[in-house]
Amino acid sequence: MTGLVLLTCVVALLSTSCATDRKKVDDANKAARSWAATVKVITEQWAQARVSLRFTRTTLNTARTRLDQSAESIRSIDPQAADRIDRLKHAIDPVMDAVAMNEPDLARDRGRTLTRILPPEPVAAQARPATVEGSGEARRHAAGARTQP
Amino acid sequence: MILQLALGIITAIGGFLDAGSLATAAVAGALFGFQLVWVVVVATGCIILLTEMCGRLAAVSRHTLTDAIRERLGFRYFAAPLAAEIVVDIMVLAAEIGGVAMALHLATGFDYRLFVPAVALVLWALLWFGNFSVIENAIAFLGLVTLAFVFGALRMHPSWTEVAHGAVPSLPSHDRASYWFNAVSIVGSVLQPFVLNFYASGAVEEKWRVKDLWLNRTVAGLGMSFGGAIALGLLVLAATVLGPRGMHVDTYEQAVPVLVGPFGEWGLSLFVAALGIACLGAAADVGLNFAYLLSQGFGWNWSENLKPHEDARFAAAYSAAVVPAALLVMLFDPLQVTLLTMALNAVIAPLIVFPLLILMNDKQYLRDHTNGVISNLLVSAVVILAFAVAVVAIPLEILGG
Repeated sequence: MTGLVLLTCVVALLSTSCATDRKKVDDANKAARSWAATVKVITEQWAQARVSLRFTRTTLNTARTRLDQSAESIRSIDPQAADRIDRLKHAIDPVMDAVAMNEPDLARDRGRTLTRILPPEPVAAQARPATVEGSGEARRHAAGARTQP
Repeated sequence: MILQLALGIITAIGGFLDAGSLATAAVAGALFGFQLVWVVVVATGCIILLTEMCGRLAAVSRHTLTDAIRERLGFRYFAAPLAAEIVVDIMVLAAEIGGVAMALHLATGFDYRLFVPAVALVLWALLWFGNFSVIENAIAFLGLVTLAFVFGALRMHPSWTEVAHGAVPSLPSHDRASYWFNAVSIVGSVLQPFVLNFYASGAVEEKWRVKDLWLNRTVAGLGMSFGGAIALGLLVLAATVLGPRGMHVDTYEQAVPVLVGPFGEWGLSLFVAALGIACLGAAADVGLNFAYLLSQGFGWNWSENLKPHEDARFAAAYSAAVVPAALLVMLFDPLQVTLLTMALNAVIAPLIVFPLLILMNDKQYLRDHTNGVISNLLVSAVVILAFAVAVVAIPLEILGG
């Protein structure tokens, strides 16, 4: 009887640990996709002179640091996913170079390439995602992001 | 009279908005669209009821919440909410100091940690040299810049029918743990226990009496509703600007586009001003509440309108709170500290809200102004539900990293 209880505890612990690992990888992937989208949006806004050079540089630095942390946090659990995030992180370097050269259009074009490595996962704004696939502007954005090369 | 009312409402809006309400609304909108609108609506309704009760308690019995809990339930019980609120107040203070430092980081590009000591010093000087009116009215007045979130939401022309659908409670279609963690964080960011005692202490500082009950009702009702509307504005902005582009809010940088969308080149400046001022105002409120809590709990002399040498232990209390809060935010990411703290607010809320309900039904304190059955039931239901969800959602979210 005691053995059965112990076995159940071990199985429960292992399954919790697996679920936690899965969630960690999932969260790291989501964060990376979100950073790809962020770099794209911020460089576009900089190219339109809507945000400052300083803010663009700050955001790119933060993106690089966060992607580095994400990759390291899951490297022992899922090395392939960590490598993908590393690729994304390295793709920020040319964008940073373009920002350093004060070339907004080049930075925007390079920023767009990030979403090819890890495409963003758009969330439609409407309140009933279970029954409605999307509406209005939100659906157009979502469709645009999904079909990007 | 009208000026007093206007200042009261502006102050209540300032009390509502802080790093917590801004962060949770932005995160929730980006991740779940309008799906969590209902949580903001329910929590705002609940905080209106609770602050009205605290103001009524202060105006009728001339007791603050802390005072009355200790007197009615004894120090042995009081020790539990006291300990919980000391810990959570320091965490909230850390979140607010972090919010101001992050606003300066967004404006200058320097590491936010460089600004933390300066922000802590400015905050301490504000509390040391300022009086209650200066702290409350001046900062709260500047905090009206947060109305940018409401005007921004209007300029984005969202589907208001969909926003209204979001006001109907719904189950998550994805990321259940994250959905409930965010729901609890929103509730915690609105039902912050410090707001309750701070509101009651403010009513005692401003010498409210029974004749001021109408003022209390109006300030609690309108002020908190406006605060809720601003939080809702930010949630709608995040849902329309960030979510459809696949952006989440893991850092404050990612929240900036919510105002760049509707206001273009002014967006960044408006966001920095809104975040910095809202967090500075809230930091002053939390710092004061920390001192109110200890002073009222241990029977020390207290008032922000006295000189520091006249209530030395009161002044020492807020001075002491600033240091660990600043250290905490130097060590951990401000946004993550904020989200976790807001969820913890929901965990400790029952410790403070249920004694408040006991007091509000006690004729010795409230005379003819005791609570009705409906407000007792509504507040109890929301607080129990938030507590239960928080106990489940927080470990799940932390385990997931």
